[in-house]
Amino acid sequence: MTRPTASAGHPLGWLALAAAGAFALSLLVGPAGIGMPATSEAAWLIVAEIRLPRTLLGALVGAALGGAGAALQGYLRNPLAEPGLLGVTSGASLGAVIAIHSGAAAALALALPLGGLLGAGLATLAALMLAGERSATLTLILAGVAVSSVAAALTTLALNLSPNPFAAVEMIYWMMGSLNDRSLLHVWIAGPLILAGLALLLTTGPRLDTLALGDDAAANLGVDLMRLRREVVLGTALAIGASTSVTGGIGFVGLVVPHLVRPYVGHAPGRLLAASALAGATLVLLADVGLRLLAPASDLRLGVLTALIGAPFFLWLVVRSRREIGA
Amino acid sequence: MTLEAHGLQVRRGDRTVITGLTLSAVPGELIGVLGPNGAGKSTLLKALAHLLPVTSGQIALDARPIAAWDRAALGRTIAYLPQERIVHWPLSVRATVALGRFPHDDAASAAGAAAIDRALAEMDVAAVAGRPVSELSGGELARVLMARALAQETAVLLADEPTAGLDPAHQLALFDRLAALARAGRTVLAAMHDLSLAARYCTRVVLLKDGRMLADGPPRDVLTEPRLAEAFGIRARLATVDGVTIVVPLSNVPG
Repeated sequence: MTRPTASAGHPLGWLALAAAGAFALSLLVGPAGIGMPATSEAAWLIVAEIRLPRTLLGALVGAALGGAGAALQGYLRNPLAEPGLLGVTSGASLGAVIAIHSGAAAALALALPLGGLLGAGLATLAALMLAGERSATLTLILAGVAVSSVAAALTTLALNLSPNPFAAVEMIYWMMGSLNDRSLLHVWIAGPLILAGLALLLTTGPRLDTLALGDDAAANLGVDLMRLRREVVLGTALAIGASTSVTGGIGFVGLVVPHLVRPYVGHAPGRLLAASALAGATLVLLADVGLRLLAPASDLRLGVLTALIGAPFFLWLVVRSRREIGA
Repeated sequence: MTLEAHGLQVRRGDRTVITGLTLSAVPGELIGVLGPNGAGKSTLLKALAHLLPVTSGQIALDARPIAAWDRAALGRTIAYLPQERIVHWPLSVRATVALGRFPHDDAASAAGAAAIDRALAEMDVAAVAGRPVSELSGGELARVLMARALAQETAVLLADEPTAGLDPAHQLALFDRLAALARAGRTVLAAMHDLSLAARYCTRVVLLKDGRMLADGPPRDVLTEPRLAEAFGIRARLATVDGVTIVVPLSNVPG
């Protein structure tokens, strides 16, 4: 008897291996040279103080983006959903920009990520309250888009009224998303929240699968739809809010990764969650390694690179769906 | 297991869709829920499956208020087949049917796999078990979704237009299956439009119009020419062919 679940372990194993490889590569690669001569104290310092936080954050943020992207696509039953759809990313951006604008970030480095977390939390609450408990998923999307628009408008206002050009440049650079100059403190701030969010999202997997049959059939199978929504939104808010708060916006990873993984693990949202988290971590780590290798001197930002890779992929998705719908 | 509704009233938005409906479905019955479009058939099934808030009245399953049931236990007791035939992702046929084991949490075990295999065979979709549902015809998809409900192996089955889109052979096979389930002690309700299938297979017919119960009884008492004229506004003839009652709608009643 062959069952589709029989081969479920293999793609996950390969993806875990790929993520581990990318993690090791990220520790070993940088402008200061490849390799880790154990004898040199300077090399050890570079790895421990610069590359380790950067690598840990890259893995965590990539996993958050991939996992939350898969969870939201599964929950909304929409392959074009991305983690920022519910307003979390724009809220975190607004919070961080306000922290820069107010000068709080200059006075206290922690004010920036904390402002981002506060913004992400408030935006999520606003989207949930705007959508209401029993509403259709479309209403939740509309509420997220509305909250995102307000946050984006306020972010532009903050930019417009920035106290000096340096603050404006800082805000713009921050919004582009980067792993540069992050410390272990950033890992400690974001890591636990990201892991908690991902753990919550992973528990929703089997219930997300039942949603494939529609809300009524899922409810008939014993799924508490309101609780599922709360958990998906909270898990996404924790993982993505914490990610954006420490790294800024890293675009397209959450949208693209589930599509990259589906040919290997299938379309069931539950199985996509862990696979997308691993693939997201791999992708962000490799993009960051590429950045360090290809353009070590330039100030090319990680979020810019992922957008440059991701946008053409998005175009390809549109063309493919046009072909499928047209056929 | 007995499923009862007493003085049921259901509102959807500003409209009262079900008014003062009382119904008791007991094990062994195959009940056809009939009525014109918009009569409240789907709403009745959803309310009985505890998927809609009830404005007033009570629904009891096994003599216990349905709201007092634990969700998973309810999923192991009532299977509901929605009228809409959707699968949002191109899952394999087998994976789709396996979702019926969710409330039992045993899709990976031998018992769960056996239930899935039985449902696939009963709905004649075992041959396409490995194919993605996106590649199926409308009728095949309808059978796959029915197989999902059968794989749930519940005491009560509520099916909303289970034969829609099926060819005649599979319509007969489906009702043979539903009748066999009822004979085996299950409680089966099916919203349907085929009057001949109702006359032939159902042990009881509930006729709805404008959210009210017009008639409730054995098919020979309910599916009469005056009643059909009253409910559907049609002139119909009943006949017996090879010992089987058939109902042929002839024309709309003018006015």
